[in-house]
Amino acid sequence: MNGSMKELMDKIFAEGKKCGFSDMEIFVSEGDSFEVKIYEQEIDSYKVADSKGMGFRGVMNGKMGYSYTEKIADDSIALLLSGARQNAELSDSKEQDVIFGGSKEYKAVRSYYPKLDDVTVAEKIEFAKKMERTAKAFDRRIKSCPYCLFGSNTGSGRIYNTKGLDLGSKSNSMFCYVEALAQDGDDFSDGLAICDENDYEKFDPDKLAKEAAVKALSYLGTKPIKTGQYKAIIENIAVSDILAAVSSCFSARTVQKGMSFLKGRLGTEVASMCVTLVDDPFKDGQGGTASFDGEGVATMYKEVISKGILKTYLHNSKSAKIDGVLSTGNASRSYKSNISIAPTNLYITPGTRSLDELEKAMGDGIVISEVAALHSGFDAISGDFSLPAKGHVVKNGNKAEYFRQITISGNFFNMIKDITEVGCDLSFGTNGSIGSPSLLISNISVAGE
Amino acid sequence: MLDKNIIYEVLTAAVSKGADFAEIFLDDTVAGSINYVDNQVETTQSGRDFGIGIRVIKGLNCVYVYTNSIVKEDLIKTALKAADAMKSGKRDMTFDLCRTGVRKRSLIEILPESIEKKEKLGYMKEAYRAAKEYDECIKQASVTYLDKTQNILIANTEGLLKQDRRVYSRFVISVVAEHNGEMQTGFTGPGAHKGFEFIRDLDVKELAVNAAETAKKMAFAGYCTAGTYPVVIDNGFGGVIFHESCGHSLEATSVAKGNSVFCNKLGQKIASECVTAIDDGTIPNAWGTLNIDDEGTPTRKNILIKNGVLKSYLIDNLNGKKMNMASTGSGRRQNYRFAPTSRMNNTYIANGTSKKDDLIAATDFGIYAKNMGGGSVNPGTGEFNFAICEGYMIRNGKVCEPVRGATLIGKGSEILTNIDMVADNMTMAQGMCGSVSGSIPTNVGQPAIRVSKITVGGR
Repeated sequence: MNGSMKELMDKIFAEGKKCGFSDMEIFVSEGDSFEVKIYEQEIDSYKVADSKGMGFRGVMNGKMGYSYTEKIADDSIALLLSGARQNAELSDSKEQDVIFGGSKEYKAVRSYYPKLDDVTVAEKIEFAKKMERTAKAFDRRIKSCPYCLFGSNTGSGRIYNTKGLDLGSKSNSMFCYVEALAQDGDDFSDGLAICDENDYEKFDPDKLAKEAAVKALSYLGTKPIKTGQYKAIIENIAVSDILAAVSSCFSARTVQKGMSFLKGRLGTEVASMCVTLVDDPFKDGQGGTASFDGEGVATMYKEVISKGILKTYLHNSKSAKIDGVLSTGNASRSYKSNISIAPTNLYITPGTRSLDELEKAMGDGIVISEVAALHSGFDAISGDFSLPAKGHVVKNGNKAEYFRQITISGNFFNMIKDITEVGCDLSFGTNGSIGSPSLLISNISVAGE
Repeated sequence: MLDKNIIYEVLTAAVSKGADFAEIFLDDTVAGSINYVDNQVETTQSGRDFGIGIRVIKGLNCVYVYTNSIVKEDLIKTALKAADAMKSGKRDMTFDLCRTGVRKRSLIEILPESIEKKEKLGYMKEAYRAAKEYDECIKQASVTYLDKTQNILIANTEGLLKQDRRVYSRFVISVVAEHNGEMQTGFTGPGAHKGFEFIRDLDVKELAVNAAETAKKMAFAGYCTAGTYPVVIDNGFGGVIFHESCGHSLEATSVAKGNSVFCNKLGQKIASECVTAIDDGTIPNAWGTLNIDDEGTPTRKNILIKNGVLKSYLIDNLNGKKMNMASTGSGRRQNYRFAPTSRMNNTYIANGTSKKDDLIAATDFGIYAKNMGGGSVNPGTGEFNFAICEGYMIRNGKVCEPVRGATLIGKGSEILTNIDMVADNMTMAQGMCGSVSGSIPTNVGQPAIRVSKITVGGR
């Protein structure tokens, strides 16, 4: 963050004072991103970006108003202040967001990996090309890789306010993604592999390509299973995706608005004994790793569900004040948004046995490896879901035929009571901050053939 | 918005290392939103999105860069970054930038930002109260107002220079009903390529009551039994079935690479004869309408399927080059952060000759899907899914008890041939469509249709 930014921010505060704002805060985020897509060994698309955004909020007559701009220049000041003033005037809630002076202590976290920045563009391009080559060479039925990409991001954020707070954070990430499309006559099937490690040494193009190809081929020519009730294992990534879709239920604001199933259930059993769900901002290098939250409050580790018992909701300052508790450091913010609530890194803590061992323990049943349609087939308020899924059958503890084109249906909150065992394979889903091990579940409803 | 000489210099820099084509997309958007829930303003935001995207093409390859800066030196630096990435020699290109007018498809009467937020809030409170007062089982309502005015400038090394303004207004109501401790949601979200006159003309009370009615019915409904049924899908948002099962697979984004089940099928029968499907970017004031697409090409009415025969894909300039076909005015992007690619505008199945009642009367045992939710598709495999928000069982040709919680799945190519009846009550509904070039406003639409066989998720 250079000197001219500080100058501009101080100028905004000075102008804001004149307009009648008492306390004010600026949130700036800056990012560099790179992404290359390969198709048929050519660069299909190549994207480089540097972006900045500035969010402003200020208190006028005891009420908070927000505004933002992506044009960070003197001629945006008037728009920022007038927008925030109009929004403050509109605000009518009893409990208002607050501008925070700072926590006593902030724990250092690991969210920036300097070595990732040393990976050259040429290496990234070659990596993606190699993924495509390996996937296509794996089997003649692998027709193409519709998506084969490599990307990286570096981002920084800064909170600066008139109460003397000036906090900064920096993070980076690197990711690659390959989709293999298999064809046999009129039948198509696809498989995905993703890597988002914090260490380039752990990126293996051949392994990822094979994973995608094997997945695509496994489902080629497969059919749905029979409609009915099944014992099931839901694989880690699929659980992560489902948990991400339901995560707003843990927000205290959602609860206060009566839009969460968890309302009135603090201290009660909401999941099976074997389930402990934690919100952990200190886990190295995950998407939600941070030492302070969107309001500048120090983050903290907590058990949200402890051995099946709901222990706490996730709070920011406003929701905490309404409930008469302390903020849990879960204020979430982007420069474009008002303060809201979100988990940091939310995950179910792992058990001891592997997926193979869970299959053996299950005996007969199914393994759900992928689910889709979480934006439409999942109701975050009720927890009801009806989701397209793919997976394989398990007979006598051994992997049997693969299936696709089925849906699994149920209710998330009933499902987590039916968990009989949690696996040891904790993995974070595509969003990078919500994770789970594979789960063994006593009963799930399938619509198939 | 940006001086013509600067545009020229930036474009020249972008092609200076050997590219065949460069394009600038300047995006200056003013957006506002209010969310009212639990009898109070939950969030309200005002802001300006601003950035410039530069696209450089050589052969069939594309480099895209963007920045939030409008300073000439930064823009040239950004353009050179793109030129370097493409790097294939040197090139001096000369061209004349010729500013041309844009034919306006949609008349805008009142710019949303000219209206006080207090007036906007007034409509929201009215809707909120109507929903809450509908029934004692209604526990919560959330009303969201959204507006956006996007000013764009597009210029390229073929001499194109166009400016346009797009104005969007949307009013979204979500209502939660509770029965025996179980919560269900009703939803409606009308929107248009219109100014604040759109909100003033809405009957927000009726909209709220309709959403509350759906929520109540679903809260009291049982679960659908899993299985395979004939399904009658009603008009409006029901059109999401065509959008997901077929529309995305007709986008050149998938077709140009050979990754669509509909590749090489032009002129062939891909749907039942009663299906005619259209994508029309020119309907005045419709949510997915544009004067020009995000490459500067005027939008068109494209007949995709006529009486079951595939007539056209949806094509943008770059994919058109790969396919040896002209653009259909379908190059779209969410904003300056995305390179454009082929997308839908207002996509619908055209009216047939049956009556909706005939569709239901012809069904002995099946499902009537009155309101649909969102869905998704994998264009490569053609596997799609979408959710029923308000459904009923059909028994002996009559609509019977409501059922909840069902997702429909299938393969696009199969569904199109399984549409066996099309009614004559076509309407459209608004959605946000997410894909490689971001999230964009699109209309879906259809009359009531009957699909003879489809897998329904249930319990």
